[in-house]
Amino acid sequence: MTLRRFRFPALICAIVICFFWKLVLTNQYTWLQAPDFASQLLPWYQFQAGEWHAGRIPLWNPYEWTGQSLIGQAQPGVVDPLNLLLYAAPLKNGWISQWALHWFFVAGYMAGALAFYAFCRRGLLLSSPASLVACLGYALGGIPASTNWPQMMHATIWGPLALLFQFRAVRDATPIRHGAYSGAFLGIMWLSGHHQIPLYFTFASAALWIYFLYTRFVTKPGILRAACAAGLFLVLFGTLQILPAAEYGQHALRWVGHEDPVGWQDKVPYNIHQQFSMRPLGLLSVFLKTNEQYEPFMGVTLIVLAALGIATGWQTRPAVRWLVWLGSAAILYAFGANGFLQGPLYALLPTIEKARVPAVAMILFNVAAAALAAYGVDRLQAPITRIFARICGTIAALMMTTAVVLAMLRYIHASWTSEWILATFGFALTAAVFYLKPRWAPAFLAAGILIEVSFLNGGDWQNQSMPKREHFAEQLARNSDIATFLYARPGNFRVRHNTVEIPFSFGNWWGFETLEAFDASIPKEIWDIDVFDRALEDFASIRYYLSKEPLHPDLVPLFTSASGLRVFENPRAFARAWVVHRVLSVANADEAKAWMKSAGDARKTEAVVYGAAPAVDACGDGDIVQFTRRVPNEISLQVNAACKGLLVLNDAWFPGWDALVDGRRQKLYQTDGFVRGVVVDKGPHKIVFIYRPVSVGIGAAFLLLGCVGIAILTRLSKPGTPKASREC
Amino acid sequence: MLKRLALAPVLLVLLIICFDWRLVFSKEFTWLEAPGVYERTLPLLQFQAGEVHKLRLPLWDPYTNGGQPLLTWDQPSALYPPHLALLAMPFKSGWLRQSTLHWYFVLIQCAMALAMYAFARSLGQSESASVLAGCIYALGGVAAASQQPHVMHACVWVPLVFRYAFSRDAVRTGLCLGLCWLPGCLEVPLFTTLAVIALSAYRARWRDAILTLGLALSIGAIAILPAWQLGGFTSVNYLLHQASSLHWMAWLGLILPGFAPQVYDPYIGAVALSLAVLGFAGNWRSCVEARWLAGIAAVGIITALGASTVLHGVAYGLVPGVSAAQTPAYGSILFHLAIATGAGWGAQLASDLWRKRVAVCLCAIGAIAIFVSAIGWTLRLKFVEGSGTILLPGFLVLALALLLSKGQPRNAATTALILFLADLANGVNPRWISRYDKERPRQLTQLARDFDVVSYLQRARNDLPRVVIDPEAITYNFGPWWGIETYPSPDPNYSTSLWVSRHPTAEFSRLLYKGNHGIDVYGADEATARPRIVHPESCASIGDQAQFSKRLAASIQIDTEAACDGILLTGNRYTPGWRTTVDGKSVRPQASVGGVQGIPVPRGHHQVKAVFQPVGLFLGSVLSALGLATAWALARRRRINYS
Repeated sequence: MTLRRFRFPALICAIVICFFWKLVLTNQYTWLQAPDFASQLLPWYQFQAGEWHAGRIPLWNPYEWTGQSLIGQAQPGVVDPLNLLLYAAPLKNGWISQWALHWFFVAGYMAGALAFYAFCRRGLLLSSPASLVACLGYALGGIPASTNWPQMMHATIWGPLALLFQFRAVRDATPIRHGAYSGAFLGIMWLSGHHQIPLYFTFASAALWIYFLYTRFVTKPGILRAACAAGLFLVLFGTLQILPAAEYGQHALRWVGHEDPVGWQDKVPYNIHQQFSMRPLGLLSVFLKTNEQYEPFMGVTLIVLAALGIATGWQTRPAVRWLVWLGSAAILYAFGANGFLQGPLYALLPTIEKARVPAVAMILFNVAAAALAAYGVDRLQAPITRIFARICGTIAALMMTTAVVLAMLRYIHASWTSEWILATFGFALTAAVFYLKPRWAPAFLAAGILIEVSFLNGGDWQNQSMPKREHFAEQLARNSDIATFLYARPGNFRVRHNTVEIPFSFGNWWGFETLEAFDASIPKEIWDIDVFDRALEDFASIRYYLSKEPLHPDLVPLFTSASGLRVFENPRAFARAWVVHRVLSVANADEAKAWMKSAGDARKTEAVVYGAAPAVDACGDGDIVQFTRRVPNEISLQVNAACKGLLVLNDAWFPGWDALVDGRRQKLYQTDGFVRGVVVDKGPHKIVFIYRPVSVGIGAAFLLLGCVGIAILTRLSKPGTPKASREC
Repeated sequence: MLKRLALAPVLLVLLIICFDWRLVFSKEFTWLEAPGVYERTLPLLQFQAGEVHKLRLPLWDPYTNGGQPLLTWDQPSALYPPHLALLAMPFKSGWLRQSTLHWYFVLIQCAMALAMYAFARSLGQSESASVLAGCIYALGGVAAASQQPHVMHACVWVPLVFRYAFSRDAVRTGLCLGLCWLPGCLEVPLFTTLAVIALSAYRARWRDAILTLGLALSIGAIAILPAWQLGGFTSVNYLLHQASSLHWMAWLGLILPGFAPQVYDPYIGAVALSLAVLGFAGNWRSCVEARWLAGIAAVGIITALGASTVLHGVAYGLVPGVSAAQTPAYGSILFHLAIATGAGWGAQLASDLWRKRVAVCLCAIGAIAIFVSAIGWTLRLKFVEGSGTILLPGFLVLALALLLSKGQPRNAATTALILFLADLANGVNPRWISRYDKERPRQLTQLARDFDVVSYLQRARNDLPRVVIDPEAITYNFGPWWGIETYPSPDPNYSTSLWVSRHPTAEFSRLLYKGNHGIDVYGADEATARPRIVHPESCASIGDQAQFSKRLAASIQIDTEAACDGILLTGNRYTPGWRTTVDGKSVRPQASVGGVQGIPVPRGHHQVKAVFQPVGLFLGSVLSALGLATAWALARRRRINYS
């Protein structure tokens, strides 16, 4: 009996694995051959996997922009539970294995399908076959398929679970427990990294709570407690990612598609939202693929089933109406600048403007449509299916006739023929199934859905042996000789590379500290000082430049790689740390920038800090600074100062870094605009810089509290709670 | 009770504000970019506001075309109280605040919506249906597309006119109609007046018609009489009418977004139109107002079609005022009013029979639209690739059909409202341009660009030059915006001695100032003095002197010293309405050579004063006050009689 319970989940896993056979059952294809995956994501994963395998938590990334918070950037997904599985996979010669990355990718879809199956089964109390049909449509089609960045796709896993328990909180006898679960899953969704889909699900969930309170509070006052519990557990589970991200956001600028990056306080300009709004044509792409940037395509079969679900359940099932409203609101929101709903929300609701792609809100439509389709599958025996069969048959005939006429007129083109014929197939299939009502109807429908969504997802994986296509992932391995050369160079240095010739995060991938990276954001402090100025490059110890041509005339060529790239040495590069005996005070970043540009070599003997300058003694040379330990979250130095001075370490200053001088905590100065400085007395001292962000500590404590709370609530729930009515 | 009464109007206002969120909650967008607004209306508003802040009524604009009156049509009138309130709002560094102008625009739309709401409620429509009608009227159609405050202000009164006309309250009809004449728009009040007269004639209520017309003309006299005196009712060449008519094809723009040109875009969307069809069909037999409104809509269509039908030509030739109303397209506001009302009825789903018939029709239309879009997309036809011109209306109409066949009346109007807003937003949102949009640069930046040129011109004002602006270099109304007197072409009679352009001309070849943005100032070799005295040939003009001793917008004072009797040329354009005195004695100004204002001055030293005080304004003020008092008295008497 217990095993029987798992047959459908097992079947779902098997179907998903088969669906992605190119990735997991062959070595020919890969999902990594896209610019963002290869240039940004893979280097992040590589760095994190390395850190976990070294027994360290990758909170700080020293390899980009003179260092910045990794967890604060959110998108690397430092605390995403699914990512942890990837990092736990064994490394191959220190590198993440491709098979692990492929299984990791497929596991996300599998988890999404299982979560949606659970939503349909437990949340909406639908049959297993119906839930299976729906979960395949949800996980393998629509937004989860078209936005297959793992940090976004992983968020789509937890949304249905949050909704499942939200619906149960309204329906069942233990609203607080279910509310808590709902909030917890929303919180976990925030851990996945990208803020966009969690933001949409959170606002949708809040709107549903308000609706439930408005309509049902009188008959079921427990809903209020459930909503409060959901809010509380959302905070407890989500804080681990939200708080560091908010802290980082205050000190970072984000590239949003606008000319200049925007700060935390700046609204993302609306013309960016406009660019990423769903066109009205996007409505067509729900069942006829139209190459939208964020394709909500789910196929004709699923949409017809959803229509049947609405037609048969609108009057009797409240959940059908909730889902219809949810889906409609999602469409209206996704229209963005082409609609009327998203604009006022952009203007009035805090933080929602940070989600710059309104079209991605169609994920809520995907949830609603797939769930409604499950209702449709369960009502295949209803008399109205005959009418649906006739309509679908007529449309299929019409489409087929049109296709034939166009073909006779020689108006055939590969760009449209496939979509058109596929849609025709969808209508014909549904017409046949609705009319004949075979015993294995759900299986036929599931097959239809799989055929249709495979057109969107899975058909376009790049074959690694195809020579003509651009192989982004191979670029990563191309410059290994340069890496080997640089590993052999003595001292502590940074590298700058030509981002056109090396179009990926070179530092994260090879483990070199660099000045630039393919990130979505940059620390504000370094941007304010003018990050691409030669004065800053020298100051930041950029000793080696990787490029075909020298970026500056005084660079000395050292090495030429097999790919033709050369390594140049910068003779003007500063050391990584030094002691100054003159400290000036500046009021703001503009003054610090002016000083940085004008001070030249004086920056080796004097420094500027914001606010009151610490008292230091003047003396000549004779300071000795030596690194004793360098790991991302901790740097130790042995300093022998000739007299009292300020130790300058040209790593990025950021809240969360502490400076310990001989074990005692000392004030860490934001020095020279963006780096760290700490006062050292005369004589030998051991200085330790350690990254211990309070935000992460609070988040971890909250998470622990949340887990304990969930455990207690689960334990307290009485066994034998009466079965819920089939209200939904 | 009050709470209940106020809830729907408050909701309506909130809806309008939220729909216009770009203006009031963001600094990225502005309505001031609309054609006709940034280049003409905004400079005029700035000038008017400057005058009001100096506690002067802006009646005369000395900065455009050698001077022109502000009491004619097609411009915001300072005599309209809400407009005066805008002009009196605080400045920011001497300029009208953009946020004030944005709120002003939104509040006019709110007023339009509330007026329509009141009209719909008076016809017995439910609150939610009336909210829908209010939204359709305020946010769609030509009035909203024009984005001209004076047109929109006039449109506020139209529903109220018919609200009282339908309830046979001639006094209030006259009052509202009179107020409709005040904002500075000719077309809307004129066509509304004609429609009201036609309605009264149809109902054979001649006494009401006379009372309404009498009151309207008397209350509106403060706008009508000065305009009459200053040529506001002079016949306009029919070519202009032709250019501003809504052609037959443009009516497709009712449901196809972006089909008609932006200024006269009648777009209201397929949902509103379908609901209106349903509303009229369902109420045709049972409701006399539906038939009246159909007639009014017909009048609106005919006037808006303008030169496209012979009927407008006949009216142009026969009906007073029509030949001066040069934008027939604004007549579509009457059609729009009828559509909004009909949609309100339609949203109530009163008739089951018609509901089903219309649902079937809409279902078919929606399905066809979607199918055509699908084919269009697969064949990569351009009309589908862009905004989904047909697709979204198709889906919305289909949704409306489902609503009509299944929906419950309680929620139907709300759902219809959502569908309408989605439809409308698809059509009207592309009008807004973000200031970050590099592909569609903002025209408004031009208005701040020429600051350096203006600084130079202001320094050169000692010799009172009049400036000729190159329309290719500067596309907005330069004069009133910066307070620089301009003239459209070189003319020595108007002392045009400076040329602002990117290039010199044969007449203005001397570069006087090189601008920072490519706009330079060139000088003429010879400049005519201003003011100056001319004499008959027999008299030598040696020793003549004429100097401004006071110079305000609508009032000047000149000290003259003439060798013999002559004509003082002020350098301003001659226009009726100027009262001139020489040493306190009234003299009659005349149009001199080139249309310049000339004042006869005798030999010797004299003080000449000229003030713009048109008799029509005085008479109009008196008549308006009388009209308002009469309306108040009649309304009060009526109320007493009722009680």
